[in-house]
Amino acid sequence: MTAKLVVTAVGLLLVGWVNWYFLFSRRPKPAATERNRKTPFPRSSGQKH
Amino acid sequence: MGGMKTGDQEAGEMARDPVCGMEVRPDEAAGVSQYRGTTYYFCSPGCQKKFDADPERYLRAEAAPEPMDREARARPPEQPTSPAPPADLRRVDLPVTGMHCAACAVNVERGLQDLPGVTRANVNFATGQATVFVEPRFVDPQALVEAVRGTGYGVGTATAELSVEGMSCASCVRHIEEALRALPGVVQASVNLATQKASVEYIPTLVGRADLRKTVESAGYKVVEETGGEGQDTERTEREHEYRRLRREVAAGAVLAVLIFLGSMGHLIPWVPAFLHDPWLLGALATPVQFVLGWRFYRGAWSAFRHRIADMNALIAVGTTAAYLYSVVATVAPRVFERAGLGADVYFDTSAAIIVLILFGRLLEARARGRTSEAIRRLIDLQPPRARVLRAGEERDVPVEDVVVGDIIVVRPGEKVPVDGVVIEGRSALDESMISGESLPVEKEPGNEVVGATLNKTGSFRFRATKVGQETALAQIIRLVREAQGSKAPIQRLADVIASYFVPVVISLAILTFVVWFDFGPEPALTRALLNFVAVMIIACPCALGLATPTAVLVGTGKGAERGILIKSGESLETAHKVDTVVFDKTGTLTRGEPEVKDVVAAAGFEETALLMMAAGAEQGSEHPVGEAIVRRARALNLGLHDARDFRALEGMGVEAVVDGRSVLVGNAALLEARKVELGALPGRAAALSAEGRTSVFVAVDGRAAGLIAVADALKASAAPAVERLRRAGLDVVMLTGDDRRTAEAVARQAGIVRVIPEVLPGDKTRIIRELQEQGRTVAMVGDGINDAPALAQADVGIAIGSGTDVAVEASDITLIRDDLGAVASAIELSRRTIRTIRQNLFWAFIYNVIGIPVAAGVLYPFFGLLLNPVIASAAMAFSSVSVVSNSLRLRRTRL
Repeated sequence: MTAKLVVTAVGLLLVGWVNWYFLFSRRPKPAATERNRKTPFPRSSGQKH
Repeated sequence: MGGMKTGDQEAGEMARDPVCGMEVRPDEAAGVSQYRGTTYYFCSPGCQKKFDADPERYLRAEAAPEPMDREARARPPEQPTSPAPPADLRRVDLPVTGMHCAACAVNVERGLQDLPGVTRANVNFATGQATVFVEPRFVDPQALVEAVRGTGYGVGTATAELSVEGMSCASCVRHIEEALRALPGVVQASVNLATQKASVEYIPTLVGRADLRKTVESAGYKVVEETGGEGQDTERTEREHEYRRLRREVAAGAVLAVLIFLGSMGHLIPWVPAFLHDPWLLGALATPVQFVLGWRFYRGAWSAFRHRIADMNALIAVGTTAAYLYSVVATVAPRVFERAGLGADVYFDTSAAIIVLILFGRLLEARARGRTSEAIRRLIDLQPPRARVLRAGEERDVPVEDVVVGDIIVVRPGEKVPVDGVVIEGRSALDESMISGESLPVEKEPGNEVVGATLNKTGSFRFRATKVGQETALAQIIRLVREAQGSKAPIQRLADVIASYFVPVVISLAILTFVVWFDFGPEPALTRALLNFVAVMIIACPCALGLATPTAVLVGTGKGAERGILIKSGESLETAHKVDTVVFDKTGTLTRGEPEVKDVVAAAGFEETALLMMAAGAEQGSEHPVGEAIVRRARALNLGLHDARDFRALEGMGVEAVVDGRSVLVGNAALLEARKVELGALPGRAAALSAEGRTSVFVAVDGRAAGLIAVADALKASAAPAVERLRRAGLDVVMLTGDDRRTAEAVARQAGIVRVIPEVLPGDKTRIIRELQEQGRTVAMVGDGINDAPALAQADVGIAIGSGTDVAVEASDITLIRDDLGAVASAIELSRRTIRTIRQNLFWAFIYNVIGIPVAAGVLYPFFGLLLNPVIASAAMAFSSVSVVSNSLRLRRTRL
């Protein structure tokens, strides 16, 4: 009986976590700003890698 | 950049070598030159020699990047950029390798979208292509490549080796490297001074070999030799490599799986040696299957997991690992199960068979997927690799990438025309069927245009290249087809959304299945719970769901391209099946667009010849087809044309001009009435002519009606059969024209069209299309001219006849390369069949899951004692993908 209770509880917890993690927890991506800017496109010729 | 731009620096400051860009101390410079009052310093005598030979070239190259930098500096430092105007966006196509299901595509999509500065990313699983829209200031191709690699997939890059001549110092190396890296699409460039070689890794969809060569040459060096694979080949090679690897893995896996199967079931087969039953041996055989052959599933699942995506890899990895680990525990510590009153059974056969069957499914799928993109490969193969160019008075055989605009090219019988151009000498007949679908050879003489990739049949000729590289008609066709195949049909977006919810839901269902069987199932509950958990995970793979739409779009657009029907996007293809009304523009679309003068009717006091001369004189500057017909007729009769002054075209009305000192008006009745010209009996005459389908234009000289000229435009031979086909397909056919009602109806009757909208001014076409749409119709507009472009854009589906202008082609959704109206019906038919195929595919993809999941979960067990063996589930899943791809391939056999 204890085994059944444990399996049920763990199962339900897992189901909850799977749904939260994959469906409801995506964060919005940061906006593109000068701070997180990558190299310009195309690179200016003076730029180094 | 400013301070280092020129070398006229104060002593002690650094100057910049204008050739290689290296910083040079003026007092240590290897060379000094003066040019236009400025002093330039050089790192080496080689650079100085180059500069002295052509200073402007280096100064231009120096100046070029400056505006961009200045612009970048002028921007405020912290500037949120979304929403950015579309004009700022740049489209980047990347070939993505290593994807094996729709969820992989979603995974890559998210990886790309997570990159700041990426506004939109579309990843097409079937074509293996990512289309990314980026704000160029923030993202470069290298960042995109890294983002794709970060999600666990590869980018199909190509490598070129260029032998470079003229490098004299280490700074030359840097100069070339920087020039190459500045090209969008170059991932890595390294130059070796010792071997005089540049090795460039680049993305073939963004940059071509010719660009690399040009860049090195414009940096002042010479490329003497190139080696390495061209883009398409690299992509193909990569796919073939993947296919061969899969085949090896399936072969090895099959051997192991059969041994494991014999060992597990062996007690039923008497000749199986006893040692094979040993669970330790079975475990040893299953381990490489699980972790070597199955490693790709773990890798894929992990990279997806990090992006909070659950894909099919997760289902396979979790499902097989559960069976494998259970068996390992049963082998290593059988007591655990025995104490619980269970038999210590092992399921190594299940985990191994599932992995091998799924790999086998992927092998079949990879083969079928290769075939779906054959159409574009055939188009690419049309391009001849070399051209015979006349340079310095002699014929030279050069690679087609080296042909430049203006080159004179010699084509002999049996050879292909390498690029687009105009014939300057000789005549011949060309087979243009590969481009236009026209089966009869087309005669060419000096002044005629020739199209690259067409086949010269009879004579030799020379032509001047007018379009090369990405500008040629063939390159444009390939680009259009590729863009269409890379785009997503709206129906596919729906499938993608479903797929992204699907896997977490399936994992939840599988866990619940386990719990319910463990809690309420008959003994041995743990074993059954486990097997059913695995079966649900495996049967529910959304692989077929992801293949349903893109494979059909791929085959459909490819089939269209073969028949001269270019479909711009998946969306156009999808909309075209809903079309219920087809609107034809009359002139140039239904008719040849070359009207001929049929009647000249002079009013009292005027002569026919003089009337024609006056009208032709006034119309000389006109580009209207009727005006051109009048001029043509006058020339054919050898009438001398007088020069016209004060020419004015009055849109939708006619023209006015002063000819031979007399004021001439040529136009419709409305124009003459507006100018208070008394028309007398002419309108009656015009009415009689219009009943025969002839259009009359009235001519007034010095404010008096001089007569009328009637023109008629012959229907294209394909018009009537095409209209008949459309009507049989249940479509309403409408004709739009600027002609008056009677003429319009006469022409419509010949074409078999019932519904006519006459007297439409060019600007009104859009309004009429909108009105039809407001009546709830889905409208396709067929047109060819620049004036049709707005209406083509307004229509749900704009169909441009390829003989038409570039503007019309640009504004349309579908382009017909051949001047055959029958293709309109073919295009709509193709769309209907493609959509039907997509629906069938989605049905098959879903039905497997709708039936499979409940059966696997054991819903039928209480009633029939029926359960789904996980091995059968994996076979069914592999079969569902293969059946979907095969169904799409059936489209190739469609007759249009």
